[in-house]
Amino acid sequence: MRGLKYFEELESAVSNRSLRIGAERYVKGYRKIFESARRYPRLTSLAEEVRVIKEDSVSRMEELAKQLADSFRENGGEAHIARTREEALRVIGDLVRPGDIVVKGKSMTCEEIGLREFLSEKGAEVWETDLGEFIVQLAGIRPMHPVNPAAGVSREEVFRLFEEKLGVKLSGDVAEAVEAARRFLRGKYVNADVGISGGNVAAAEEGIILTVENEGNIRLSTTLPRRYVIVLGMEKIVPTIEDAIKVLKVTWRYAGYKAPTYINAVSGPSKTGDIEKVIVYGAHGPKEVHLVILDNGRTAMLRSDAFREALYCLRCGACAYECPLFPLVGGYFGYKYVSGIGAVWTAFTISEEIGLCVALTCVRAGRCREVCPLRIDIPGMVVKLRERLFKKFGGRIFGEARA
Amino acid sequence: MGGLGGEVFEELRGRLRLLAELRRNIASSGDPLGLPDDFYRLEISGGGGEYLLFTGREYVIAAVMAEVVSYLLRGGGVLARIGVAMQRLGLDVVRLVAGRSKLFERMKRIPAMLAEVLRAAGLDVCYAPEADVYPGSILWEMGLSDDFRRLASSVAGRLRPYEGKTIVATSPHSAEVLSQVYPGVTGLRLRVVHYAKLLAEKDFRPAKRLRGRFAYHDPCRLARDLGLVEEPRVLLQAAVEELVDHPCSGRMTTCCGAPAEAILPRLAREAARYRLEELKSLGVDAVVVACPFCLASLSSASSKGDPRVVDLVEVLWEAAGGDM
Repeated sequence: MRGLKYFEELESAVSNRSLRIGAERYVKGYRKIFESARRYPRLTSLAEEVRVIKEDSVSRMEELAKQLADSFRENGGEAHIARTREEALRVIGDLVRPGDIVVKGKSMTCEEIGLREFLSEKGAEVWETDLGEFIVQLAGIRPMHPVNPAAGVSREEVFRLFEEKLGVKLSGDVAEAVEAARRFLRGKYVNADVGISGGNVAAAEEGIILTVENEGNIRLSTTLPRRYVIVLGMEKIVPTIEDAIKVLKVTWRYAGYKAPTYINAVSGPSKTGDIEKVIVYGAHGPKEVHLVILDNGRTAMLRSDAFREALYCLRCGACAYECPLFPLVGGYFGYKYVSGIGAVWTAFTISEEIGLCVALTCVRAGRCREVCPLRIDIPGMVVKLRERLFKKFGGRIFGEARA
Repeated sequence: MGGLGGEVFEELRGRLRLLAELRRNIASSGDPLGLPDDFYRLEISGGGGEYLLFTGREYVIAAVMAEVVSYLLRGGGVLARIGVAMQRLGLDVVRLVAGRSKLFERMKRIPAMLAEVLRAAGLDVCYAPEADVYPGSILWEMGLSDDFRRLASSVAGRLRPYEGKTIVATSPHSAEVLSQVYPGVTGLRLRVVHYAKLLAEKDFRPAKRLRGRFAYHDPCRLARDLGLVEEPRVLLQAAVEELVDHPCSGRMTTCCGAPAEAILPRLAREAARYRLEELKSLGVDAVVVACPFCLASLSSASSKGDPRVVDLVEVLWEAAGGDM
C-alpha cells in the first residue's frame, strides 16, 4: 500500500489494451451466464428474503459472532474474535511457522488484511490455489473482481506469465494453462502444513462455515493439511444453516452460476469414533481448525446509519461487472475491494485516504444499484462517503478551510 | 480505520485542482466557471407564464467543460500533468476555449429552441434570467455538502418568488437536485418537471418525422433517478423515422463519461468513446441524448464516421419545423 499511486495506476489502466480485452471478455461472459442463472423463478423473492435476513443478522453481528465462536468451540475447533487487522495477523501468525507451506483459497477478507504478504514476509511459502488468485499472485497485481480476481488479465497474458513463472510451454489453449496450474499446485496441496480459506457465510447456531467454489481447490486446501485456518468477516454470520443456504443461493445466482460445483461446510476438525467410540481428532482432514472472526472496521460500519447497508454485500460481484468503468479499467477502480461498494469497504477496513480516491472515481451511474440482489444504494453511499471524508480531509486537500 | 502518510494526499491534491477551482468560483460568484452573467445570456423572451424554464446554465457549463477537457487532452500530453496544466489555465483560457467552440455556440441555443417547442405544445413558458443560475449539482454529487448548502440557500432565494410556477428543467442534473435535494436542504418545495415528461404528457407531436435511424441514449440521472424512460421515447417515436435501442438502455443505460471529467478527464473521454461505440454498433445515423452533459461528452468523443450526436430538443425543434 505504501507508495501506491492510485490515480496514476488508474490512468495507466485506461490505456492498457490487454486489460480492456480481458475485462470485456469477462463482462460478456458474465452477462451470458447470468441470463441462464436468473431463470430461477423465485430469485427476486429469495433475494428480498435474504435482505431481511442480512438486516437482522448484521444488526446483531457481535452477538452472533460470540454465538458462532462458542458453537465452533463446542464442535472442537478454536475460535478467535479479532478486532483489528493486526490482531488477526498476530493470531494467524502464531499458527504458521517460517518454512511452512500454506495453501490458500480465495478470500477477500484475507486480501483486506494482506495475509499472503504477511505470511510470506514471515518466511512461509504461501500459494493461492484459486486459479484467478494464483494468476494475480504470479502477476503481482491487485485482485480485479471479488469472484474473478484475474478478470482483466487476458488469456495471452496468462500464457506468457505461466511460461515465465512455471517454466512450461503452452500452445495457446486455455485448458492447457489450467492443467499447468493443476500440476504445479498438486504437490503443494499434498505437502502443505496449513490450509487457509475465507467463508462465504456462517451459521451461528450450528457453528458451521460455508464456502462455495467451482474448482475444488478449497476442498483440497482445507482438507489435506493438518491445520486449517478460516478467516471470516463478522458480517458474514447469519443465525442458522437455513438462513445460510438462502444467502449462498442468492450469492451464486447473482455471481452468474446456476449452481456452484462444490458447497463446503466445516464445523470443526476432522474426527472419528470408529474404534470403540473413542473420539480422535484429525482423521483424514485437519486435526486443528481455527476460526478467526474479523471486525476491522465492520462494527464501525454497523454503528453508522449511512454505511450499515454496505455490510449486507454478498460479494457476488454483479455490481462490479455492470459498472460502466469495469470494461475500461477493471479492478483499478478500487483497492482490493472494487467499484462503488468497494470505496466504502476500502475506507472502513483498509484506508480512508484510498477509500476517498476510490469514491472519487465513481461516476455515480447507478447500474450497480439496479443489479444488486439486495438493492444496496451504492451511489447514495458513495456521495455520503465523499462527504464524510471531505469533512475529515478537505482542509488538507484543498489547502483551506474545511469543505 | 487505517491511515496513510502524505503520499495519497499529494496525489489527491493534484487530481482535485480542477474541482478546487470550480469550488472557489462557486464560492465567490455562484458560477463554477467564474464567468459573468452576460456569458450565459439566452435569447428567450420573458413573460409571466405558468411554466418557468430553468437551464441551471448547464448547457453552457457542459459545453465549456467538455472543451476544456479536449484542450487539456490535446495539449496536456501526459495526463498526470492535467492538474498542473489546469492551474496554469485560469479563466482566460476557459473563455478562449469556449469562445472558439462550435459545440458551445450550438449548445447555447438549445434552451431557446426548447422554449419554442414548449410554446408549440401549448405551454405558457416564461424565463427569468436572474433565477436561472447553477443549482450546484456537482457540489452535491461530490459530497461537498457545506459548499452546496451555501450555494443552495442563495439559489433558493432567487427561486422562491417562483414557487407557484412549475419549473421546467432542461437538465436531468438540475431536475434531480432541485426536486430531490433542495427540499431537505433549503426547505424550498418547487414543482419541478423535466421537459420530456411535460411534453409527453401534452402528447406533443411534431409536424414531420426526421429521416434516418436514431438511437436514444438514456442519461443515467433521467432514467434511474427521475424514472423517465418511456417519455423521451414516446416523443422520439413521433419525431423520427426509426428509433432503436441498445441492450444497455433504459434503467440499464450506461455512462457518457461526463461525471469523470473534473477528476479523470482521460477516463471520461474513454468512457464516452466506449458508449459511442456501443451505440454505433446499432448502425444508426444519429444518437439522441436528453442531457447537456451527455451531449457535450459524447459529441466531444465523436469523430468522422461516427453517428451524429444530437439533443432531444434539437430533434423535436427540427421535426416541429425549425423556426417556429
